[in-house]
Amino acid sequence: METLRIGLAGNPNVGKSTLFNELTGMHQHVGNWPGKTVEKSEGTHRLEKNGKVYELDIVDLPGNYNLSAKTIEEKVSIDFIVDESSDLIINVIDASNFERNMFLTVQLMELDANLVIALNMNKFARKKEYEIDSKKLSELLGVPVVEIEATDNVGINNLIDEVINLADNPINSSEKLVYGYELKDHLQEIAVEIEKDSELMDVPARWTAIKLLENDEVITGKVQNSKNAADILQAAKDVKKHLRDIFDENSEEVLANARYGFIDGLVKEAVDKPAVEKPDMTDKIDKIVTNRILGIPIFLGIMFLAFQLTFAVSSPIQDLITSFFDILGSWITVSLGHSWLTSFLVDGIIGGVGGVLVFLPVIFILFFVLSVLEDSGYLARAAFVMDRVMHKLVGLHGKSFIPMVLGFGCCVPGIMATCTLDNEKDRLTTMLIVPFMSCSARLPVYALFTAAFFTAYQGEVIFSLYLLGIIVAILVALIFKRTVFKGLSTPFVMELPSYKLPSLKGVLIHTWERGVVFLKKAGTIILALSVVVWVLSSLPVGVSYGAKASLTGQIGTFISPIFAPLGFGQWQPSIALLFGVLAKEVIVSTFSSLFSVAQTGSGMAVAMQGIFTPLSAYSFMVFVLLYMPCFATFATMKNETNGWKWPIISVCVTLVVAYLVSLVIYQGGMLLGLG
Amino acid sequence: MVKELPHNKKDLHHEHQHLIPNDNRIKRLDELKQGQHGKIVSFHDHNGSKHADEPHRELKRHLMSMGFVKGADIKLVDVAPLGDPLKIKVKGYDIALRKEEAEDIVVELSED
Repeated sequence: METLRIGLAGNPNVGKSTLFNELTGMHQHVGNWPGKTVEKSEGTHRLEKNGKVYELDIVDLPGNYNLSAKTIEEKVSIDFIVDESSDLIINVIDASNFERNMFLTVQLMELDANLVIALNMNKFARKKEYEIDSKKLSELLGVPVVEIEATDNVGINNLIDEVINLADNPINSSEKLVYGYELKDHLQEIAVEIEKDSELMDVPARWTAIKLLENDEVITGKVQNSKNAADILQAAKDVKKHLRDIFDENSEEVLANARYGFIDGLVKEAVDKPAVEKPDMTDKIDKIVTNRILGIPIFLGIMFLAFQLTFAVSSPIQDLITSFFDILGSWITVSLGHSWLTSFLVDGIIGGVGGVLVFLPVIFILFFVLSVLEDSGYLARAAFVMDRVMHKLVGLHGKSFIPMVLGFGCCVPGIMATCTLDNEKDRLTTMLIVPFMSCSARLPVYALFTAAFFTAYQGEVIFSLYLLGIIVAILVALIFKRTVFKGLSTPFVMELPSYKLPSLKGVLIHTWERGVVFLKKAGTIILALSVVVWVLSSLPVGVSYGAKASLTGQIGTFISPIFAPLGFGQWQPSIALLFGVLAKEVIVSTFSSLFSVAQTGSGMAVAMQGIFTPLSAYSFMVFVLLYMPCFATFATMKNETNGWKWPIISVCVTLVVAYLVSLVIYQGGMLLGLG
Repeated sequence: MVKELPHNKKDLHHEHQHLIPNDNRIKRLDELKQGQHGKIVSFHDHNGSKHADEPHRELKRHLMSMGFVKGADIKLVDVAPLGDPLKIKVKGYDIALRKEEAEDIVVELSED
């Protein structure tokens, strides 16, 4: 059996993932590139040809417009292509966007990749009256070209045949790549110096020369460490000066022009396009969807639909899951009686596992909705419409809007939705502020306190909390943008892809993958932490679960003085907050068990009034609004960022912010005589 | 097979070096009206000014890789409902660009 390691490269939105799904089906898994926050999809495809068994080990590289080694996504792709263990690259091209797609292709050829071109989306191209002569194209490029239609599963076998051919007979794709603009000779001048140092020859010399002319920092640094650094850098400098003298442009521009010049040549010979671009279906739909008057209402409508679908549909399913676990718990208690084992099973395991599984419906439905929005092309329009608000107000990207909206329901899908943000800094900032969006788990807390202390103004008070959350989020984002993430704003240059009908298979596979990842990774962490909480609440032996005398209770009592300046320095609120770290809904049930009263009814209100005043009640609600994300959110952040660093930072940031804001509110209120 | 395109761009540049404010065919990209199109003439390099920094050079590289090169046809298709960003058509596809970034691109309006 022969194993072939293959990378799928191409621009975003060209159907790479669709092809990947067609090739690998269920034999794929999603993870992260080692040490990075970029998602990695890897899968296998087995086949037999000419009596030989092949296993294609396929990696879906991130979508790139460019290979300049500036962003993590580009570095990951370059590393893969250059890596000795990779055998070939399938470059997926959107035929209806031929010219721009080719910009990446020529860079793959510069790298001398063992390349086959999969010409996709020919249906769209034909609608635009583009005709591409793939035979001619293949001749001109010296690279095999296979026409496919990934969504219809057409041409895949031809592609695989070509892949096997290439594996047996690799090609040098840079052979027919000839740049005019005098570059050919100039690149040779630099390449000659580079070739003198064999250590630089892990990549084609001409590629290194091109990168030097592009002022690529990574490659320039690499060359500076070379033994022939002085000659190489001098040659590059001379060429740059020469180009500037002739073209009155810097070398980077000359290169970009050279690439497009080559592409123009291809287009003239192999592509038939109409003289004037016809408005297509996408343009027509956009006239309505990004319309000055209709654009925002349509956006709000779709957001509302997405939100409703995600939460309204999953809610009954969640209730079912909760009921199931309640019944299971009761059954165990009845069967085994009250004992340490029962407590472990019911409070620890079922509590923990139930706490994980209850999120599954939300996640599956969320990813279904998000995939449809993204694959159809609408997500880009949503970002387009909301960008001004997000940018001017918060310094973030239009795409940050959706995670924040989702955070109002639950942080877990909100955090997961940040995967649609391309820029890492924007992604992290958004992740850090999503927990400030008042999630639905906090509502029971608000309901309880406003009923007890603000009966006439329940709605207004709750609204004020939501508003406060948004304001704090904006301020924290601004602070982060000016300090930790300072000066790293990437340009907002976002492609608006053609509208497409999402492939159901692709959406379902992606959704399933995400759900399973959550189960495995977040689930493990949540379960582990729940067991820890159970242990602390059950010791010392014989204590009533979670009571003041338990370890959790003792910890709560011990830290309660910290909360005194905030107005609630008693042991009950402290313990409730500790349990609230597990899940915010637990705060209410903790109070009821600590007061030994039923959650509903006037007994609760009376008990609360014994400990809180209206001012301290408000300060407490603010603290609950802002403090620490729950275990599930913490675990999700760890997954999304591929590390503990950012979830821990989130915990610290939210704790500090919660403390400060509550402090200001309580002490300020006291000063104003409201206490 | 692969033709060399004319490469003496010096003439073009001199023509636009002193952007004559009242040459009404030369406009910044953000000054275009909806539906207008033209050819990209130059990028403001902001040489020496506070804008000649890494993010701006990055932007230019990124734009070039997306098809924003001199001579390319470029069209202002529409503006977002809130006034920003702009929807631009270049090399046959649509791209969203903020006004502050579109300011850097100079276009010569096409006649029609």
